[in-house]
Amino acid sequence: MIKRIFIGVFVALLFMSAGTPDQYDTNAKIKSIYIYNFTKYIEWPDDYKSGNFVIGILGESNVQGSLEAMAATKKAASQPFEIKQFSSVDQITSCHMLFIPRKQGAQLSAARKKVSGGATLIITEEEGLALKGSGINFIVQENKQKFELNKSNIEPYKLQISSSLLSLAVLVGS
Amino acid sequence: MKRLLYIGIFISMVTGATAQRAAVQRAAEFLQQAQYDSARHYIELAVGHEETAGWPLVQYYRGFIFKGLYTQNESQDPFSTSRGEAISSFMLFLQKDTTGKYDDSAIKSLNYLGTTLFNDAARAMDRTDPDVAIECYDEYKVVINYINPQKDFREQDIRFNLVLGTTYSDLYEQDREAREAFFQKSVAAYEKVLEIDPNHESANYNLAILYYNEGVHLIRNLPPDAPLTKLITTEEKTVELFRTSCPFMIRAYLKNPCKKETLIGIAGIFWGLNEYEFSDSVMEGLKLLKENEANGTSCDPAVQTKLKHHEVISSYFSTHYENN
Repeated sequence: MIKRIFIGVFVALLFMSAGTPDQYDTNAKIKSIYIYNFTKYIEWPDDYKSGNFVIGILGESNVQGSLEAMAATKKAASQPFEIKQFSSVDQITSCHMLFIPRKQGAQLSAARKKVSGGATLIITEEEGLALKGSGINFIVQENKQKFELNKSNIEPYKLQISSSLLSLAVLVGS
Repeated sequence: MKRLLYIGIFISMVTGATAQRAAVQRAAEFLQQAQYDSARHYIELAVGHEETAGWPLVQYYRGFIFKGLYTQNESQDPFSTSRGEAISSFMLFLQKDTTGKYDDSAIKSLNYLGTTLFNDAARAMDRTDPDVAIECYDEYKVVINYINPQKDFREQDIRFNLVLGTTYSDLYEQDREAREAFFQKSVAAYEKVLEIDPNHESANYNLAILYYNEGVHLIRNLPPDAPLTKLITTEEKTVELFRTSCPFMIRAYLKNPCKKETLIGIAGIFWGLNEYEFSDSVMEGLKLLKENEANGTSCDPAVQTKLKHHEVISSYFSTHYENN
């Protein structure tokens, strides 16, 4: 009888689950924190320092959700964040940052033309794009996310980069 | 029980009635009447006197008296001292007795007491008290091993440590910051299972989930405005956790290629390690598995292993872990 009790309890306990994999997108969160920090280490011209701080996203990306969560509680200095999704290059309007996700990498050149003349930092996440017009490009080194920075794709847009950010970046370009 | 009284009477007849012998006799009588407190009084007199202290039958009685006290008053107490005393006495009896005449009943009693320890371990686990469970389970093994040195505990150890690992990880997840030690205790429990069976599916899966979810938790809990230095160090820890998780998750997958959660885990690990193409391939495999399930087609492991995602997973495993 005692053995039966034991077996019953123990078998029931065996069905306890260790849980399921957490499907939270860590990469999206990491990128959104990087993007938030870029707003602290890069200075936009005076005429971009009022109103909302606009972060545009070309197409769909999980980063959008993380950025929206960040925007709900944080500001870029005194500017509230505004996260805008552009479903195509044609829809792109003035923004402080334009994030071009991996699957939209081929649109970089067209997107760059669209924002030329403004003070827009273009951020991408595909190997090689820092040499093709992107200011900051997320790359992977030893399974970790790093970022390349190409000054020649940033400074012409009247953006000033702090030396602290340069020291953390993988510098590419001339 | 009657036999105990007869033994007592026999003692009295053959040895003559000194005070100490009378104490043994009285203990036997009270034991027969289930008056265990009184029986204990007399048996402890006998244990305390040099004339009777060495008698095997004194320990035999004492074992039954404390067993009675345990069942009467302490059966719900995992730390019952009476049970401990009963076990010690039966063991002493078996050491001292040369006749072998009463070994069976002593062994049966030890088996009974051992099983109560096992039950207490299970109950302690059920009420999420793993430390008590470990104590009871270890004591159970000592008792059972004493009466059966050939007993193979491996299957029981696997079951016990699986439940133990899950209990610790549940406790940890309830309050990760305050209960950091439970993470390592959970890891240790699953590792004990893997020492016995390195390919055990649940132990591999549970351990992988523990490491992987910990990595995700570290990133999830970062504030959105975390400084870059903090972000970088946290990501390093997370990647290390994902790397540690990976071989366990793949071993669980290789053992059972049809389990959806394992594929979700592998895809998540690959994604977290920024191995996007591998992750996408595993997600394709998962999609197919779900589609088949929706169509009522049951998963055939042999078919699974011919699909692209299986090749990706196997090749990643052999490249990164097989010779390590």
